[in-house]
Amino acid sequence: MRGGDLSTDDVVSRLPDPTEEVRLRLAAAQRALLAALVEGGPAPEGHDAQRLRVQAAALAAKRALPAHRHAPVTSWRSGRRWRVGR
Amino acid sequence: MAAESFPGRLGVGLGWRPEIDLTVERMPGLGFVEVVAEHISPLHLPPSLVALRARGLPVLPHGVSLSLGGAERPDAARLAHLGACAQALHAPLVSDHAAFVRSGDLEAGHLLPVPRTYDALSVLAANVRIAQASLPVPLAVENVAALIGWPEDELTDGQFLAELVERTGVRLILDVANLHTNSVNLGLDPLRAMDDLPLEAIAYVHVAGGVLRDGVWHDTHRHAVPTQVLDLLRELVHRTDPPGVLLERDGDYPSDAELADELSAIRVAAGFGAA
Repeated sequence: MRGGDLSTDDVVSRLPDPTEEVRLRLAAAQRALLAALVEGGPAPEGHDAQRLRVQAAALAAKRALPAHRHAPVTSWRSGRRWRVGR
Repeated sequence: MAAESFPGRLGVGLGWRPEIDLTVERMPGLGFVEVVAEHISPLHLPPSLVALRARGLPVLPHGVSLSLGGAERPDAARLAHLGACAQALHAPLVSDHAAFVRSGDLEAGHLLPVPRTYDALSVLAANVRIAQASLPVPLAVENVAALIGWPEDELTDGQFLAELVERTGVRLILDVANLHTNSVNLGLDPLRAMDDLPLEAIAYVHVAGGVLRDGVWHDTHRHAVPTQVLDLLRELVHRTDPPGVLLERDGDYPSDAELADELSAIRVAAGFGAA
C-alpha cells in the first residue's frame, strides 16, 4: 500500500474500475447468450447448443413457479424501468 | 432502530415465502428467515414478517434482481428498494447474487452465471462497490447454480469469489447446493471451492433440494435436500463455523412435519445440535 489516498481502505485491494470497453465487451457477450436463451437466437461461439436448450427450458420452468406471480418481471423483454412498491 | 450486531449466531433458518407464511411462523427452533426483497414493499410489510420481527427473529432481505454480474451498473431504484427493505426490517445484512439477470431490455427472469474471467470479475467488483456505497448495511453475495459455463472461463468458482471478496470486502452466502449443482453440471470440484474460498467471509449458508434429470442437476428448490448436499454442509462445518444455515424451498411444499424433519437434519449436519 502506498499513497495517502489509499490508506482509508486497508482491507480491500484497490484495483482500477473496468474501462467502458470492458463493460461493452461483457455486455455484448451477455446479450448474445441471453438472446440465445430467451429469443431463440443462435448459440454463441463455444457454447454447447444442447446445454443451452436445457438452460432455456429451465428458465421457462422457473418463470412458471408461483413465486414469480409476484415478481416484477412479467415478460422476457421489459423495456420499462423497474418501479418500487405496488 | 439500530441494526443488531452481525455476525452473531443465526442458527437454522428457512426462506419465508407468502405460500408458507404460517408454516414459517409456527416452525419451532428457527433462528432467522430470509425474504425475497422483490416480493415485498417496505412500506407495507406482510403481517407475518412483522410478527416474526416482533419476536426478535432476524429477517434478512435477499435480492434476486440487482444483476451485480451484469455489464451494466446496478440500478439505483433497485438498490434503494433493497436498502429500504433492510431498514424496514432492521436487518443487519442484505444479499444478492454473483450473477446477471438481464442485458439491456432482455430479462432472463432468473440468475445466470457470469464468465469467470478477470474482465467479468472487474465489472462485478465495481458493481458490488457501487451497491455497497448505496446500501445502509453490509452486502453479501451468493454463488449461483449453473447449468451452463462460459467457454472463456479461466478461474474456478472458488477463486472467482475469493478474488471478489479480496477486492470488495463483500460477505458471502455460500450455497452448498449450488456447489453440488456445479459439480454435477460443470465438473467444478466443491471441495476445491471450499479450499479456495475465504470461509471467514461467510455470513451464512444456503441449502436446497433439486433433481437429477438426464445427467443434469436442476436446482429446483422443490425437492428434498439430497444426501450429497448435507455431506457438503458437514464438510464445510468441519472446516469452519458458519453463523447460520438456511433452507430454501420454493414450491411443492411438504407438510410442516416433513419440513421440520428436514430442518432437524440440517441442524444436526451443521453441528448446531438437535433442537
